[in-house]
Amino acid sequence: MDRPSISQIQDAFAEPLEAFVRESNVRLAVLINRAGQVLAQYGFDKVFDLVGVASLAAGINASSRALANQLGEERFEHLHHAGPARQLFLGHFESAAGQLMLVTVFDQRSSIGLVRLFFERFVSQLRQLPSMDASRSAVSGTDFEAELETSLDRFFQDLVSG
Amino acid sequence: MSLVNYATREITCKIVYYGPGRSGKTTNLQYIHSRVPWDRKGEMVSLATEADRTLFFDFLPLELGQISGFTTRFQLYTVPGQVYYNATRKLVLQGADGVVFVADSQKSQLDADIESFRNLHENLLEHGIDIRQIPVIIQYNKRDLPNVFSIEQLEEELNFRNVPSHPASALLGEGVFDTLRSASEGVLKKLARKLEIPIGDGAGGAG
Ligand SMILES: Nc1nc2c(ncn2[C@@H]2O[C@H](COP(=O)(O)OP(=O)(O)O)[C@@H](O)[C@H]2O)c(=O)[nH]1
Ligand SMILES: [Mg+2]
Repeated sequence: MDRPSISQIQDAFAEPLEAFVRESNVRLAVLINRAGQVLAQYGFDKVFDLVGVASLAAGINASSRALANQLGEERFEHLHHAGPARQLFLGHFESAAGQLMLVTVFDQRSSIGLVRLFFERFVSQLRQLPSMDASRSAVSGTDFEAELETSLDRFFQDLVSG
Repeated sequence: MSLVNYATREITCKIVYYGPGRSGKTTNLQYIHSRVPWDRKGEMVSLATEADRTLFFDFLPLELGQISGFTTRFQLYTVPGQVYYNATRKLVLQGADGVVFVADSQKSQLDADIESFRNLHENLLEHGIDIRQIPVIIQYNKRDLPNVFSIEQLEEELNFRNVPSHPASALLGEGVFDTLRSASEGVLKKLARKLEIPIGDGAGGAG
């Protein structure tokens, strides 16, 4: 194997993300792609909170980008929303894996300056990662397809009869 | 693009409910949300106007369970149907793995259905996707209403590509899960074909 597998790449996201959380002292952080899919996360304890945040953040990013284009800018700077107790930072960047976004939530134990500083460091670490190719795998497509029908049956049976 | 995480053994797919304004897209998601047990779903997020019209999107995350040892999740989105929301519609379509086209079966809505279907083609093309490359399911909704076209007539008008289609009355829940199942199957079968590509051979395969 001369090229790294996707699991190695995603493991590779975890380490810099953890360093970012530690150094900038934020509470939650999630790395997502443009479609709002989660590549790595830190601090969320419920899967569904995580995907909700990810989908909304991807929505903000997409509309901010489209708005920028309409106004003749390629993109806007990072987004920062501040409430009395909690603040949200949304930083986007290009990587070998396409456009990605870091969404992070912090409180008075950190600051926007700190977050931005360590975000830049995080991005430069990720830039060194090899390109992500989701089409390569170690799973048999045949096995997967064979199991598909029974898994769908199981899921939908409960819903329709229940 | 379906996201496969080999480290955590998770698969995430995005399905977008598309169609003209008021055809019943949000109603589909609401029904699904009302029937799926709590441990298999997340909050339904609705970005709507005061008049309950979808402004940006509705979002519902679902967990189907394990397939070949992978936790399989779906992210269901709806788009706003009104013509003037095309910019946001295009954004929601980004990264979709499959589309459910919710048509309104009422005779008065046929033009809106056709226009919206054409708009789907265009917006997919703008994302560089030919409609033949992505699983599309058609749902003929509002079958419970009196002034509707027959399924045959609707098939003739809308389903020239002969994609899977289902009659539905989303308000009553009829046909909602048939449609979702069909879409899930389409998306996951396509994913299975991609999994077939041998390790180290990134290229190859159609689409
Ligand atoms: N009679 C009937 N009404 C429906 C059905 N599905 C949706 N509706 C109604 O149509 C209206 C628009 O539905 P909505 O889901 O908001 O449409 P959307 O714009 O596609 O999201 C609402 O008043 C729904 O209650 C159906 O199957 N039958
Ligand atoms: Mg709606």
